[in-house]
Amino acid sequence: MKEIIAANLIRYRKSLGLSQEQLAEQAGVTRQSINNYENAKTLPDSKILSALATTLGITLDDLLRSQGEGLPNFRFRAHVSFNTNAQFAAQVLRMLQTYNALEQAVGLPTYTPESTPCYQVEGNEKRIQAIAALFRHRLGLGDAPITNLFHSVGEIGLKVLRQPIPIKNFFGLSACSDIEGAFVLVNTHNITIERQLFTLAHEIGHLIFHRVEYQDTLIEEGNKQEETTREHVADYFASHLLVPQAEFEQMYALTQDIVKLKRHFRVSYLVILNRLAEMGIIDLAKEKAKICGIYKKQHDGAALQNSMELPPTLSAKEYPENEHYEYLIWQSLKIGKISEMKAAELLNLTVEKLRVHRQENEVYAVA
Amino acid sequence: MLNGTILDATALIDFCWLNEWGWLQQHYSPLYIAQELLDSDQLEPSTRQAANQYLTPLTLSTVKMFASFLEFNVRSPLLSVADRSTIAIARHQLLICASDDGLVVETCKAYNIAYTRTLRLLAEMLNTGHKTVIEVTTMADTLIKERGKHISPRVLADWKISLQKYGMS
Repeated sequence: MKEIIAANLIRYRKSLGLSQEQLAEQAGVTRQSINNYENAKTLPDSKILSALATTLGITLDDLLRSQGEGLPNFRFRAHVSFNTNAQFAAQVLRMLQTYNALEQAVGLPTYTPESTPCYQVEGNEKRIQAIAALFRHRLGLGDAPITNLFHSVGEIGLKVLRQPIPIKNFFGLSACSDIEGAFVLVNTHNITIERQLFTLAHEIGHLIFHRVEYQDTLIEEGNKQEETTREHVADYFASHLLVPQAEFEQMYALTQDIVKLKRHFRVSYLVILNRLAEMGIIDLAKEKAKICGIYKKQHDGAALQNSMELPPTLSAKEYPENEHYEYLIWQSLKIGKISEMKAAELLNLTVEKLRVHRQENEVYAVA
Repeated sequence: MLNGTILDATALIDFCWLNEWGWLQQHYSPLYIAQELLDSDQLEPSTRQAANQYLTPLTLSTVKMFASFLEFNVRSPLLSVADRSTIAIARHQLLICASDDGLVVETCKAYNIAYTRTLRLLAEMLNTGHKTVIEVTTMADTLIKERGKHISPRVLADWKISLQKYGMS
């Protein structure tokens, strides 16, 4: 045990770029103690370990178990930063473990989209569009705009979590297990709802087209060219999943107003612009510059940054986070498969408040 | 080894509402709490204050305790850190685990850890002459109706029937 703790302390401390002195100071212990723990000389008690875990951005379990031990057997495809950030990797694995446990507790089947490899858009446009249409069919949708993709994919059993992850340029990742199904993590940290929806659709694209590339830890990014073409496939799929071509052409015949089109399909103005550019209707760079210019005029010189959405934007209230996940927690609680303490932790409530919420839920429940 | 009782979150919250610390100390002391529960964000400040006042914090401190803590996670990943810490301490310090959480109790049963539940403690208040049937029935009803405590209607009905042997005095 002392050796495992020592290895974990070193790994997580170095991942944050902390010295022994800095860790000691932040956790309220002496540098000599840290040195003893990292050399497996003494076994700290759980109070000290919890303080160290909190400082390192992990949990007590992360310090106590060997790397990867007891965690779900998932394969990943994600941004390269995943590999270099031990804390983030541990966090994702905990999320997966909990989600799996909740699904098993409630007895819901898992879901993995059918896989069919595709590595470039050129020459495969119709095929990717057809697969996007098939996926919409799987969701029980026709060509109409998707009201809430998070909700729709949750209903078919795809594990989706939306969490604030303060890592620059990280939008999301996907993971897959033969037994435990597919999982998508969508970053919400300073990211618009439109972009979050696109990320979900994009990761579903990777799950369908690039599943053979999912690996035990994180893929080492391929060469730049390969990576770009794969991202393009996932983007193309996402665009056609959210905006079916036939419906888009029909709507475009009715209105050429970018704002009306983006509102109709509930996507970013950039998705609409890209589609129009693909169809050869506009020059993407020119049209984007024009829109940015109009925005600047209308907003007292403020620039429309890449991270921003052209108003009106989708409201976060209309897209409550992690509804399916929370449903699993309440169901597990109802059947006694999760402790009150754990349910409160996952719902970010105190146990006292959880009890009151539970009572209120039961008052309105249909017998 | 220690003697005594370690309370989990559910037992702690119940006794905060019941405010029967004197009776609990008289019959189940020394009273403990897992440090991980005391430090948790899932307790209201007033509950934490009561825990600090009436309970002594214990930590996981041996390899066996840490091993049990991890083992419980493999068996029941939907137990919290505080729950697993409480059960691991009860197991290795031979304490009674006071809990009214189904999953915590199930784990105690699986590992032959002594446990007690809130309704049983209320019944013992009768046994020890501390309360009357009407009083303990009212206490249970208050926990359920006013404090959102969840007890299945069947368990509650069976418990109330079991109290009949004490008469209504």
